Amino acid sequence: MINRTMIDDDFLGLDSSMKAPVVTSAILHIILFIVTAFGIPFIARDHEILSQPISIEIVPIDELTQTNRVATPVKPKEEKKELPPPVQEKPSPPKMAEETPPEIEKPKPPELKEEVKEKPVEQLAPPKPEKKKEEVKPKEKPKPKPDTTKVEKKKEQDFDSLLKNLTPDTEEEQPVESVETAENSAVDSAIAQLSDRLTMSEMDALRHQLQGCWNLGASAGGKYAEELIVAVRVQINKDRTVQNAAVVDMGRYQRDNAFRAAAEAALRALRNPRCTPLAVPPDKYNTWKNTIINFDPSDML
Amino acid sequence: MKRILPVLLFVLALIPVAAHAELRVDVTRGTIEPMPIAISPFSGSGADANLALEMPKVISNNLAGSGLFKPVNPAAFVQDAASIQRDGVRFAEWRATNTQALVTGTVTSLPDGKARVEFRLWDVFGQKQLIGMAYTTTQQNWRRIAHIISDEIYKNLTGEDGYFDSRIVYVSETGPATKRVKRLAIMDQDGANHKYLTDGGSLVLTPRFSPTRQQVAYMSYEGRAPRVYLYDLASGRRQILGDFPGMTFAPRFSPDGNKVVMSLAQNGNTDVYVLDLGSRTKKRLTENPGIDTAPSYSPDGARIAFESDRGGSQQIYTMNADGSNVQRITFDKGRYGNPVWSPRSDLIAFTRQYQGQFYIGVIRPDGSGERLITNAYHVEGPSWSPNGRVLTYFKESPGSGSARTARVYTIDITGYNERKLGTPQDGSDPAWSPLNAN
Repeated sequence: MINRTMIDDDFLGLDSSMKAPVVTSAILHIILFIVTAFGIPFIARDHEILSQPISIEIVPIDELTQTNRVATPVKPKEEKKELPPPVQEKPSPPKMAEETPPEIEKPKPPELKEEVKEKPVEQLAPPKPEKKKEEVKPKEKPKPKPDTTKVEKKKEQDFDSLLKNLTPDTEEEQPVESVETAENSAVDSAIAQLSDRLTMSEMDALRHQLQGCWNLGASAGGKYAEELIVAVRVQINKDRTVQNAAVVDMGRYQRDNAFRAAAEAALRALRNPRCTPLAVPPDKYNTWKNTIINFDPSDML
Repeated sequence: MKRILPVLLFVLALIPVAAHAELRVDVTRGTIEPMPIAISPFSGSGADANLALEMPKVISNNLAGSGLFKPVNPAAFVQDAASIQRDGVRFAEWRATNTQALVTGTVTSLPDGKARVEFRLWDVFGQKQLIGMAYTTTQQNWRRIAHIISDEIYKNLTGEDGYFDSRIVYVSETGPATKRVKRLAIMDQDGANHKYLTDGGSLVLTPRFSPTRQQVAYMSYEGRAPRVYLYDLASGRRQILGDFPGMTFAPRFSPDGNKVVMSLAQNGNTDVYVLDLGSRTKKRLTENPGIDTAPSYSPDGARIAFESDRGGSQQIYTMNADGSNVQRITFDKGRYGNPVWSPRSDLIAFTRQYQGQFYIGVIRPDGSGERLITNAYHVEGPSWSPNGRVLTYFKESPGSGSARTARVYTIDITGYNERKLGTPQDGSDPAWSPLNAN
């Protein structure tokens, strides 16, 4: 008698009630194995490494470096007692490019009101040409364009650096590098074509030249003198002489005596024979024909 | 058309905006040197020739004394007065000598004996006149006119008011230390027109100018106790200020000239009082067992700086004009005293004693930015020029007898340009006047 056993059903010798769970388990294990080996596509997508954006700022090196900048304030310590700054020697007589001379002035005493007062003050108009004309004031500056450039005030008063201090225990303040403005202007002009730029040395040459012509002697020690930052809009002729220089903040020029004096000092720098012609590369006329020069004493005073 | 428009706008948006190329240059350093200024001899003939020659010298001396200007040597002048009169200013030639500003002028006698003085200030580089003024005055007044002209030039080129048309009152000292004769004396800020106000019969100290009238308050040992007196410069009359029971000293006027703050020492305690000059009413401002003295008003009259040892050592404090809201502003070692508020309100000058030396210093009213600008064996009594730019004080040398000297000095608040004033004898306790009234 044949003993029939159902091998097919009695898989692995398990009884039929165990078959289903084992199969399920096997399938799940296989899935687990595949997942381990190859990963799950949709989860893997989420873990994709995102590329971090790296911001790149194009900053022209000439704005930041100033190789021939006068070593920033080796501040006067106590031992530096002798009097003010050395007087610079006279400049070699320059050949002058006459900048738009005003009308010829002859000192024919102008009409002064002939009142006799004890301590009278009469305003004298500038001497006029022989011919009597209407008040011709020696006006050379054109009306500046409306004040768009805001001269930003930088750090708080670094006021004392030029001033003598005998205090024995004063801690030396670290000179603050003036990178801020450089950065700002760098960003401002970043759109300009690189080839039109003045190179580092060209920019330094101009800066260096103007530093020698800008005399702050009269305003050092004045009240809030370090805040008198003057922006001058300059139009320059092809021969590198100044065609026109106008203070940007004409409103403040009109109402603030101290600012007016500082502005005149800045304009004098541009008219100084030592700064005529300006030290700019002749072949880049388009770059420098319109220039804004910021005379900023806050690092010095 | 409606379809084209968006396309057109899209294309336009793609066109890059043309760069507005305006070169920007930051000039952050300059030179600090006195401005070269040429003060040409004034033109004037006959009787006027002398004034025409002397006035530019006074102006030149004033401007050079400020340390901010360097008068050009007349030998380097490219034009004389006659040439300027005839041809006008030849700017190009002046510019070649690095002259930045030029002063020209004329003096003319008028039929009534007065003199008419004109001056013009030229910007040589800018080739323009900065200012032109004419003054008519009696001949004897010529020095004042020269000072007024100096102030105009100073104001125009620095942007700050000048201080040349002002005077300094001080205590003139003669004789040995044991029998010192001290007299009140007054002179122009350049040392000219010196004269004595008191005869030396009694000791005088701490003169102070009224900011508004030609009056000087000072302390004198006339009578039994030292008292504060008021001297009227026009009439020469003097009177005791206030009817106080004890010793009064260290007077100082309020900015409007109507009040005087001073110290009163009574029963071993010293406090600050204010006296109304009109009503003669007095009010006590400090009430403290310590010594409170040397009060000085801020220019707006709202605060008073004074010295006090209430905290243990002698330091500087400020308080409201009614005595409230007291704040200490100095904390360093040594003894601080004699605070004097600058007329431009940004600084308080003081004297500091530290390790056997005296210093004159300045500090901001909030107690920051202390800076010591001069020191010596004995320097004391700082007083501000009317524009708050220069300090006058006295400096005493050690020694006895003739070796000991006391002199009046001025110094720029930058700490440079210290100058000795020419007083006939020793001098101490200088006090600068406000600008002379016109």
